[in-house]
Amino acid sequence: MANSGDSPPTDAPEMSEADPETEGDAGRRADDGGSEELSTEELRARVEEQYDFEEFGAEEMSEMSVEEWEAVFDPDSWLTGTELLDRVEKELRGNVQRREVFAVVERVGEGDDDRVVAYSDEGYVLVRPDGTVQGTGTILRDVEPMVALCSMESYDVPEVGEDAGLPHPDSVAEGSGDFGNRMLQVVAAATMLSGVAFVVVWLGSVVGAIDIGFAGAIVLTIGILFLIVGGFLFLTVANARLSDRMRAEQYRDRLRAVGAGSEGRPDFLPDEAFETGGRRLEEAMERVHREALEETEADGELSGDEGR
Amino acid sequence: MSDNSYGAIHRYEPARESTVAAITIVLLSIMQIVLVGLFTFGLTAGWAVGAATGTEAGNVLLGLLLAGVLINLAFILLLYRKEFLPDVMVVKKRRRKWEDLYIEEDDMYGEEITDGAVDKLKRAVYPYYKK
Repeated sequence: MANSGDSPPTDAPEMSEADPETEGDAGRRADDGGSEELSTEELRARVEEQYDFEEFGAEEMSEMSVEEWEAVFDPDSWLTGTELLDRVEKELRGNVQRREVFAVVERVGEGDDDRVVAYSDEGYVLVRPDGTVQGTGTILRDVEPMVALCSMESYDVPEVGEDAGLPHPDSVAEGSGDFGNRMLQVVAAATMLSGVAFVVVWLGSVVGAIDIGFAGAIVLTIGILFLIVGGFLFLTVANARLSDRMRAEQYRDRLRAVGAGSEGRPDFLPDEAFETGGRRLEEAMERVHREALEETEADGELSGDEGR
Repeated sequence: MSDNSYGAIHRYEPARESTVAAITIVLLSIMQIVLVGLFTFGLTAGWAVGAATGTEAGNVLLGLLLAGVLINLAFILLLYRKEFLPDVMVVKKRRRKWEDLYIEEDDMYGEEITDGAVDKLKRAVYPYYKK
């Protein structure tokens, strides 16, 4: 499932990708001088007349032909190549460290094969030096806008340490916030106790042991209300403790699945393709994910409400 | 590995549990116990009907106490949720909303009726209004 972003805002850097061939062409054209350059100028003037760039949207973008686009937009206004990849890598690492993105980030290959790869157990994304993106899953959606952002010179990429990444599974704490749980239990106990007291007093007034005036029904109502509130608070605490344990375990499992904190990559990834990078890695990753998809489909349509 | 990511845990950060929050929740809890105790005692002792005090003004006091109990409880829960629960983010599916179906991207801010006159007024009156 190759997907190179198709939402309008992220398209910009991809459309202007500094394809070495076209760049060379442009240079040659400029050297030739004369008629062809003039035609570029003419085309530019015409395009600028035709389109209102103050109100430039996705519709206008799709209307434009490739020649028109190249005449108007300067590929140098976007960062590309190694610089772009450096920035994307940093931005991604920063996001992983802030736990906005769940992925393992790697820089693979050299020269033309230079790629930024980020993968999780649910998807992967590959960023090429020209700013195009290949991938699938939530990670793809996270990275697409990042590439667009990083290709803009005015955007400052955050500085991150080399070790910025997902935490080691064993370092995931469990049972945090237990002090709050205990305080809430104290409050719940006090509320329930007073609820019980109300009910007892009401019973006492029914059998005639205590005289509380005419407030019998009120006392009973308040008593039941307090009992409900106390019960709700106890439930809250029980739920928090149980779900905390479960969530921590799930998170640890997911971290283990992507091999966070350990040296090797998870088994499902093509190790040798990671060594070479470039085209081979792209194909290998696509194959791995297609197979995973087919496997889940073969398992049957377990999740029918996804509507994909 | 699968591509069905919904429900996958994206982030799990332990609770913050700052010292200030811990002290505050202790104080609020003590206050809660006092309020609940007073209210329970007052109501069962018959303050509301003047059985013990001879005046029915205790009714108002009991009303205030009950309000205090519930409001205090709200703040305790607020603090508990913010500071004492772990920060968990789960991948969810964003279902299509009506604006995805019927609104064009260009129209996402709607149309101005007054040509920006209200906006100008707001800016003149309120210094922190959006630029």
